[in-house]
Amino acid sequence: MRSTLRSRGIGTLVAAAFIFLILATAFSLFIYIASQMRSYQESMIASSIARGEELAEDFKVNDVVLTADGFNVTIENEGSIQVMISHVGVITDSQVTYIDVNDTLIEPHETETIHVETTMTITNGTIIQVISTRGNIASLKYPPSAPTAPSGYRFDVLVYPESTAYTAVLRETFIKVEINGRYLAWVQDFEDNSTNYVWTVTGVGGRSTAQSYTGSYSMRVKAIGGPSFDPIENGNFTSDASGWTNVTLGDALSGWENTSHSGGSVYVSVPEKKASGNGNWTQQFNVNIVPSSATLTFNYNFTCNSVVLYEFKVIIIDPNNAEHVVWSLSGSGSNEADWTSVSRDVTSIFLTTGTYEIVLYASIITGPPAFSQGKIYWDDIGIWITPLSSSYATYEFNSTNNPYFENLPSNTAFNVYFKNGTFTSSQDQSSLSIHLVINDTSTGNLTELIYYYGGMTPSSLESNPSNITRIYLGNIPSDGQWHFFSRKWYNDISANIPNPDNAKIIRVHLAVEASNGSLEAFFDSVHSPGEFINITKIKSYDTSTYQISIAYSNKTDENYVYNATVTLNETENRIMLFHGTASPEESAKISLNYNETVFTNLYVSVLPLNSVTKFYYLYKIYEGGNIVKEIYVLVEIQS
Amino acid sequence: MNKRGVSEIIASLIIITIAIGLGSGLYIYSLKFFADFRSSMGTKLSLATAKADERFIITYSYYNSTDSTLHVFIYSYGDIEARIVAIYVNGQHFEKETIVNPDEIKELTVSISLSSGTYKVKVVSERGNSYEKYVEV
Repeated sequence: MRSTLRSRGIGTLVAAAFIFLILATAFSLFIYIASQMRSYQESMIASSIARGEELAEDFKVNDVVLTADGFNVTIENEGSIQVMISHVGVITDSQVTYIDVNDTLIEPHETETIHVETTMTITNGTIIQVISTRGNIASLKYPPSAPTAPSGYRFDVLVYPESTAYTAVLRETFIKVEINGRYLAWVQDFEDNSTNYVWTVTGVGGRSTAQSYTGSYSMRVKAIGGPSFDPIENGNFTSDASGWTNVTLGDALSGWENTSHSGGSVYVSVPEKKASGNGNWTQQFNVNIVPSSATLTFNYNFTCNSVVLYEFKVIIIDPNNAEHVVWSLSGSGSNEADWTSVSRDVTSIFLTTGTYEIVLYASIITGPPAFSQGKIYWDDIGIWITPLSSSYATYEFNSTNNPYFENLPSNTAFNVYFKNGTFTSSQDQSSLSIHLVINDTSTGNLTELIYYYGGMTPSSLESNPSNITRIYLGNIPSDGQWHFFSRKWYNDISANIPNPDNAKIIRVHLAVEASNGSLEAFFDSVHSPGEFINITKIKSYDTSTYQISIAYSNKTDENYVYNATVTLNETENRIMLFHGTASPEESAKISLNYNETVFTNLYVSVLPLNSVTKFYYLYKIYEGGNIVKEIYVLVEIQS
Repeated sequence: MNKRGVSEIIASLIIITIAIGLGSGLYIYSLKFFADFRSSMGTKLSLATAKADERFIITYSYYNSTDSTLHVFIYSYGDIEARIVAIYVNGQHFEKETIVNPDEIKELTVSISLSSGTYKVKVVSERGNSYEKYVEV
């Protein structure tokens, strides 16, 4: 019996040993599986991160500029993470080639130009493809086209959101850059990078380059942000917590309190032992631009006694409801800290316009001691947005603003003022010409009266100011007036315009060969002889003093009293007329009343009038400083 | 009395033998079971990991009507090589076994006669990954 029992005991031991072996094997298997699963999970996480980065990657091809041995492709990283460019593809109708560019790195918001050497001929329609190491593709069909001008802009534009790499100016051109409301930092032109035009523009403004460029150049425009602004309302909590909403949970309390820290502050507290709670102060705010930089600043003051756990966070929620914890603090115990200032660069969060939300989060768990409590004050909350400007470059202009004249007599001098001129020329500077064309309305013929061109030297009387020797585009300022003053026609037009009364329209045409353009111009109004009043006939010119009666125009408004400046117009053959007896005097002011006739004396000091029978006498009538009426008086000299 | 003693010994031996036999059998079976399970599990995880690490795209595809060939450019950007096994053109299967190493772009061609239209080109890998792209002919 004892032996049986003993053998059973041995059998049990044997069985137990086997069971142990089996369990040990199973355990080792479990360990192995756990290891494999961990490895698999890590692999899955890595894969998931890679997929996320793949989606987060955002870049585009801005430009392609051909070079002697290939081309330069400009790529802009518009995403929030780095981009590594793996290959650049060149796709034509007959060939597809991918060039390894050695994983060129582009930082977020940066633009990089990659030089690609290739023997392939890039023509219109060739697709330039850029492939990142995350498998994303951006393409551009050559040649790059200029984006559409924003509403309200009169020029075709190239849009530079922040900066460009070098952009080809394929035509000979003057460059005008416009910027929409912010600061223009600099324009760098051209080939050798040696010249920087640094301009600051507040509001809408622009500048033009001072000279033309021929050939294929490149240009860089960079616009940096204007003055920073803070979209947070009442971030100082000076007198209350208006603009903010607060929510508390558990045992937390919140409110505004006069802390004498730039007025008051808001707080979240758990004021009793063995309690817990949390509270949020939140505010939504709009950001209507994509900033070039954004900085979060705030102050906090945290005091606590025997706190089991405290946790504070500042969170920004973007328009896509993604939460970004930009600052956090946690711990336990006691704290008697004073005000602490925090500043964080949050530029990477503000990638789009829209409604954002800032959350000041506090969670406090107090301990058992009777004095256990915790309290945090928030103050001086600000998010300083530095705008990212857009700038616009243009080298186009149109001809719709050419000035025109109505009823211009054939030999009346006139003034034309130009400003804000931009030109495009396929020729050099000397090819610029100004053409004055008269339209004979009786025949419909257009007759060119005068033209000046860049290489021509007008007489000193024919241009103003500075007796310019060339009609030089660079002399047309953007903010002033370039004054072209014609003293006479270059050509004798008497044969072309037999009856000046029919010369109803004169157009001034500013032209550059093979070009078009626009120019703001204004000009003195002129009148046809048919409008002239009271032709005064001088019977003799061998005496020195004449009295001329001039009727004031009856078209003026009786409610106004005008002052007239009598300007003696220089006309043909250098007739010099002087008013009154105090010679020489080129002008005089005369008070005119409504429908009044003015009598004035003319003293003729120089009268080489061998062939002159007529001249014109100009009255300019002012209301305040503005010309409201001009009167030409024809003076006919009778022998 | 002595006989009773012998039978007890025999009985004990039988019991021990049975215990050892059953135990050995069970142990051997469990070893094989665990080994199979481990092998199967390892293979599955390895394949799943490799599938996740394999990433590729079609960068460009065009049809050459002159020689009736469809050209497909595949870029492998995963951690391991892409094992391409087939191309489908509008569901039509073409065996194309090739390996595209990481950061490599490889061109595959398919002889096929296509008329004008839009075609869906799908590249599938041995690991079960695929990428589709529409091609205008």
